[in-house]
Amino acid sequence: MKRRNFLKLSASACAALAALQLGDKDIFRPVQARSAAEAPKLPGSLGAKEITSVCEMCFWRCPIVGKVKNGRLVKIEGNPKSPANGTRVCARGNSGVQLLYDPDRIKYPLKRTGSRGEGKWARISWDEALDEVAHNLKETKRKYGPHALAFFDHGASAEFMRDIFKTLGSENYTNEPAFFQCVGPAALAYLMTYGYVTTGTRQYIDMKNAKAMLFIGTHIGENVHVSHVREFIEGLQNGAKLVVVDPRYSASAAKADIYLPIRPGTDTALLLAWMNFIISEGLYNKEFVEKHCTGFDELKKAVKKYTLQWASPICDLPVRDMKKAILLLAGNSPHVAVHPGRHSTWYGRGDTGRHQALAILAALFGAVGVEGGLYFPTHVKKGHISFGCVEEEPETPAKSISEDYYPFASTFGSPTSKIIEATLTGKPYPVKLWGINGVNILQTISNPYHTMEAIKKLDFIFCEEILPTETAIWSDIVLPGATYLERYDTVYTFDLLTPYLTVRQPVVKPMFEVKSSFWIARELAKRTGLKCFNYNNEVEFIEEELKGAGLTLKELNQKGGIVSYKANPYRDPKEFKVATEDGKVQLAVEDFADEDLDPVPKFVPTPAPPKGYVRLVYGRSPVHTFSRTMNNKWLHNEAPENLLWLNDKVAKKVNIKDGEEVVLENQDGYRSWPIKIKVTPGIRPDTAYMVHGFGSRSKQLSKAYKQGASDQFLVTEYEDDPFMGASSHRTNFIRIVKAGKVINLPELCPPPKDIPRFVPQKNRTGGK
Amino acid sequence: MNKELAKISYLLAQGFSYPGQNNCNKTFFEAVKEVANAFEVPCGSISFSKDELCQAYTQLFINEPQGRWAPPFSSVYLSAQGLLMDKGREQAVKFYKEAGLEPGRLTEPEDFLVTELHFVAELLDSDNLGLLSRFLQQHMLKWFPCFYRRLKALKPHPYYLLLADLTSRFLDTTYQEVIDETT
Repeated sequence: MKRRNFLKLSASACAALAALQLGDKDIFRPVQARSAAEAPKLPGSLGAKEITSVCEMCFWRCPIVGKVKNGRLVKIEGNPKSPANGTRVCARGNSGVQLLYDPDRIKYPLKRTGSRGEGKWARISWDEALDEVAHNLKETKRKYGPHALAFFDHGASAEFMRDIFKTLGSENYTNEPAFFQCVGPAALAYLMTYGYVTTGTRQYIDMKNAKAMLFIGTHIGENVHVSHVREFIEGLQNGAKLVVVDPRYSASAAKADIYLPIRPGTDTALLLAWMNFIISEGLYNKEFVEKHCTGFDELKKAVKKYTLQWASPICDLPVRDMKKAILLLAGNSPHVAVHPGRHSTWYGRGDTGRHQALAILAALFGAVGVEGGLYFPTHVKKGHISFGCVEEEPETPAKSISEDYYPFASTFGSPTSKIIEATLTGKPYPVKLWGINGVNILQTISNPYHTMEAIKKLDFIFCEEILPTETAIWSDIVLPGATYLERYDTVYTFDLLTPYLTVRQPVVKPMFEVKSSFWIARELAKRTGLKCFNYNNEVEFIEEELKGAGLTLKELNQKGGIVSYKANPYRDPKEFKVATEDGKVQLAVEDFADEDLDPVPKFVPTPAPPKGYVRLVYGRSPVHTFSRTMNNKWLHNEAPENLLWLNDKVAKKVNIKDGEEVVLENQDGYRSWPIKIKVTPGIRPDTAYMVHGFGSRSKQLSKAYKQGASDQFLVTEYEDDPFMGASSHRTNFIRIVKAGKVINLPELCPPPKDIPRFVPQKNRTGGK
Repeated sequence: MNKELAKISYLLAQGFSYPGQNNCNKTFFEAVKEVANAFEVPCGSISFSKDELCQAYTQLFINEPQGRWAPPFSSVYLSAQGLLMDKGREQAVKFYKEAGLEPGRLTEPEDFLVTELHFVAELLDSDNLGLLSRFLQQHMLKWFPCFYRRLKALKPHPYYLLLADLTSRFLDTTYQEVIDETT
């Protein structure tokens, strides 16, 4: 346009413009003196302001330093004063910058405008969002009672909102997939054997000082927690021998002195046979067992039938190899690190028993409270805080989801599978509202198709989210949560071999309209009419917690954001006592017997693959955490998709080449996104493997969407652990679809007759 | 003349703000139409409900269900990483400081399209044409065309396509005006 024309026509435009109030005077202000000073012009992170905090790219929570220049986070390093990780952070820790500045982030409160799962939203104000959530919480409780409210939670940030559901009187105030889809069976087994959660968020296992280590399915190196990996590597450097039992030749297996490629689902058979062997051969630690354990006679009797010869065809392992491994381990007792494992929701009915067997084996070696064995946590003192939430008198349901299905579920909350079932069927009572915080339930809980059907039946669903995950796109209201780099949390204490106290604090100010979880929960409580959260902000309760440790936040920051303490992990044999009622290790758990469950583990075979299929197993990538980091550009660049590991002999028989792209179909007919094949001798012929968390179904995750295949969306068959109700994830089988043609996979390791074959249920909703 | 251009810049900034009472009413739409006529941009009647524009805005500029959206932040277009708070934001802040200004109230990063249009208006209002010329040449005209192309490729809601068309014309015209006046 020519200027002359513009001037000619501007009179009419000006009249319209004059009718408007234009120009927001608050958008700009004169530069204030304090912000006028720019960071020195030095390259990279040099000259940056350093703020100490705590990572949350995974749950290990390494102490970090955020380097900030001109209001922008430019680099993350480990806190040099941290005795656990020092200046080191892993690839994910470094990539927190990319999470913070990911354009895909949820930036404002959002309200669904399309159908659930469609992901169509309109931005709304915080007032509108919070009022709508509060209204639905109150209304659902009024109509259906408090237990119609259910909360799925994970991580530190979810704890505040959990208090709201608890205060409202729901028994379903915590349904942590972290327990019911992950560590629950292992945590229960160790809790009942030793009286403390030897494996939960962390594992109290002294690999650094071990003379021998045993990993059952544990794949450290692919599963990276900085201090844990360092201790493992130090142990190996110090000469520790390593036995790895895994159907797949993992990163840990590659470092093993003895590698046992076991048939999936038979680990307990091996452990029971090993126990019987060391008991009958007199290789167990008699003094430790006599002085510090109960139930030995019952154990001895129960495992007598499990010989190495019996276990050999079941486990598909030669007797000589099994024997060699147990002799190596027993020969180094008591300094044997029997790794307790973490993710243990494998096969359902045998999961607690498998980890109980691991706990017992450690005790038979006397590898408890000694260098190189299981050790005791060192409690770090901090002040106790109470949010002053006034709970209503709990209304006991006629049948409880938390207590009446599985005898030990209530230790951890309400089983996720039962919440979903109740939502679908209305039994034992209707569940009508879900709140979700810190977990992408559709990429975590077994049978996501059931979860989606359940969501369709809800009156209301809301979540606090950082990224537009599958969970977010199924929610009615999405509350934008602050990342760990933008908020405070409670004080963190680390009670492993290098104890310390530190605090998470914001490194930069929150982006857009995101808010901290504490702020969200506090505002929600106010609008729901709850007496809850008697602190105005996080700093108030952090100061109270620090006071208990003789510190203030200012002092802690002056000390570099972290204070270390002396560890007390081992016990003199004279003072040895575990945290059970009688202070002794329970080799047979009477509480289990009281509930008609096996007090001593026994082998329960898990069904073998149907003809034409192999078992699907999964694991971790060193550069990703669950399904949370696939949209992170740096990490995406490192590992953009997962691969399906397929045995080389199987691949050859069906003419599948390395790198070929295929689709997977499970036993119920559900199909995956396309995935590339990795042909390898490093996996058994009856098993296929992929890294968990890929194959996102949220189109709003621009880098993660449809990258690789989701193992979770192939887990449609599951069985609950009878002890605590955790859902199995390794009870599914796949075959291959190549260029639209279904390929049945040959069976090269047929199961023995003791192991039944999987039979699909007739009324399954497969075929999608 | 500069005052009139400043008003248009304010108008466009308001248009690219989230729909609310101030920018979703008959008077506002009328002004947009007049400016469109002034710029010879074809434009029918403008009459959209707030709900319709809220949904369209969210999908185009906040989070889009098909993963096809046009983030209104210069950093996304000016750095290889495509991140927020990167080079584009650094550039913008530098220009703001040179003018003795800093963003105050907005929670968005400083290189938000709305903030940059406000800055253009401030410079026009204060006749700081030398700085405006450099801001447009070295910064805004480097990224806005990329944003504009990306938006057009999405086949967006007609109202936001119109605003983007207008902004493109406005920036080109203003730059030409400023060059004319400063050379």
